[in-house]
Amino acid sequence: MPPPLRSRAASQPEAPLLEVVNLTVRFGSPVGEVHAVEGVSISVGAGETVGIIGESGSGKTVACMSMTWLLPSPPARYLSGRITFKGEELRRNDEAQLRKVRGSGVGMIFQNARLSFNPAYRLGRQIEEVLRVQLGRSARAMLPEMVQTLRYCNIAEPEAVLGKFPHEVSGGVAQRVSIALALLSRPDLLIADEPTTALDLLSQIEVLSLLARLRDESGLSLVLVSHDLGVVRRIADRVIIMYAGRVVEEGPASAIFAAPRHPYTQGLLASALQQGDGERLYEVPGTPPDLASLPPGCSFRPRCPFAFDRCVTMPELAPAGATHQARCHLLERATEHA
Amino acid sequence: MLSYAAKRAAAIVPTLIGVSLVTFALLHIVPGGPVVAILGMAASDPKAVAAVTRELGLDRSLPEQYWIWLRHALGGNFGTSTEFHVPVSTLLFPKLAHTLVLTAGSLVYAVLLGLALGIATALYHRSLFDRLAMLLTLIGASAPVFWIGLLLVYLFAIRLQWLPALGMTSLIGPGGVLEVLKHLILPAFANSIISLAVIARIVRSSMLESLVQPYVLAARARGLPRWRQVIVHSFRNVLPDAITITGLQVGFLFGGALFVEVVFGWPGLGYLIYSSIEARDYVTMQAAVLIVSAVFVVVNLAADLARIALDPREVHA
Repeated sequence: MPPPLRSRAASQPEAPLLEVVNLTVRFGSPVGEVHAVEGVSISVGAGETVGIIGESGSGKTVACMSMTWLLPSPPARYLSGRITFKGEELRRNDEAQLRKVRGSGVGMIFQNARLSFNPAYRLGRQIEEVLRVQLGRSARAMLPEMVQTLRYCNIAEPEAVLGKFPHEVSGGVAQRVSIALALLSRPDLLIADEPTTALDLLSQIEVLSLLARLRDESGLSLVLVSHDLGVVRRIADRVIIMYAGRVVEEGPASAIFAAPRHPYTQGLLASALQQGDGERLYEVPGTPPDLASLPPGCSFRPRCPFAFDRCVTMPELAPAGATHQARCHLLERATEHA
Repeated sequence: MLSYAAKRAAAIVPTLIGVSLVTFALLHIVPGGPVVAILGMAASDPKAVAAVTRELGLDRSLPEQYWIWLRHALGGNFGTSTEFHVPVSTLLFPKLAHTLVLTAGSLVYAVLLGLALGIATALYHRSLFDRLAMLLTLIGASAPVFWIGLLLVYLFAIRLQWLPALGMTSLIGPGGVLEVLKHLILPAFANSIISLAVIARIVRSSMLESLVQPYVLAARARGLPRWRQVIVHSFRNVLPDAITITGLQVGFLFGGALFVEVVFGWPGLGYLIYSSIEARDYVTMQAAVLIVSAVFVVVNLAADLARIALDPREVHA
């Protein structure tokens, strides 16, 4: 495994670049209301890299998409939440303001980069369209910069790639083109939603090193969403663990990986770290919860090896160190016993 | 593609032969026959009947009659109208032009309004507007065109008196293009309603699929304005479906125009067929039906070929 890459700006005491406070997002569905995100608060400092970890259905993607109120409503129902970007509140219905922030303030790359491009147009045309709309510059004026940025993103033959349709390039190339497109708008924050999940191993490493290089060289803030601990561990300064729509643990990457406090995080780490040592693989027991009918109390209770009587009530996110928090009743019990 | 087009084009020959046989048979199936129609009261005189029968060639064998008629028709000679006493071809072709103008006008309505309605209902999916529009398209697609035509005449020509219901005479009349357009508004709209409804429904369902594609969300995330997400990105991928369904509507609109012409007194082939039936002008009726059928077959062939050109997979389907 390559050595972990660490950002130069490990922690920033100043006001965060982007702050999400108490976000709640639900979706109507035939089987009941899906509680996708419940009271989530996330802040991202300037130059900081935040990793968000969770299994599918943990709300990590919905939380990220909501950072620029991206999900159309309906079907999404935003029940609460306040988002500030560079000190300015993002108003959910202010399309003009959001349009300025989307792309040029907050860039976004998606899990399946090829699907994030329109199959009917060549890649070059789609990049030009975004730049023309955002920066008001002609394609000809932008071409040198486009080529340069694609090259920076390890695209060997930028001119050739610009002339191709999305289905004519590999997933790895498409992802690097989408990163280049995001960079061309010069955002302050890049949100990457499972950017390597749909890629083969070599492309994964390439895209991941590109993101790490970006963060180191450009001072860009990065939110990296993944279910893959290895990916997050390599580049995140701070880690947020989500489970069933809630933040269950949050802290500096070093603290989380060295001393996880929530049983779910411990389970995730155990299942990730044991890989390849010949023993039986450990996995978090049980199945992910049904977000349309969550049990009362702690959502992890049905799968938790340490569940006890107090877990029938929902625990609060409580300090587990100077900058480390976890949502678990075991924390209280530990302090009571001490 | 080319060989398929040739095959498909060759396949219309038997269809056209069948059409000509049926059209030819019309003359001999209808009661009374042309001789009585021409002579009227004089049909009681056997001498006159024999003379007219010979003049029309009706004393020859049926295959012989068919062959003579077909040969002349292919050469553009459809005989002489028994009502107007002029060559049928001089009646027919100006009327065909009128019908094609009405068809084209209907197509403009069906495409423009159908697309607009389809896109708008997809954008406001499940809203009151969407439900109401879908109900109206269902009713519109189920209603006969002549009934819709009568309703429109009653509302816009008689009650509101905004537009003329009748009075269209010729494309090259004194009022010029503006006059033609004024007369075109109501009949073209009446004729377009079914196709409009069909196009709106197809476009709506394709748009609903296309609007939730990841590339539309990505376009939004990249800061593109809403209209670009909808038109440049969503609609572009609906276009093949829209073109296919529109092609299939052309023949349908041509057929519908024939009915609408009668309601609005539009001097086209439909009105010609209608008035020649009334006047028992079998020669004219026969020629008009033949031309209508031939145009219908050719239009459908063209639509089919256009669709295949857009989607080469169809060739092997």
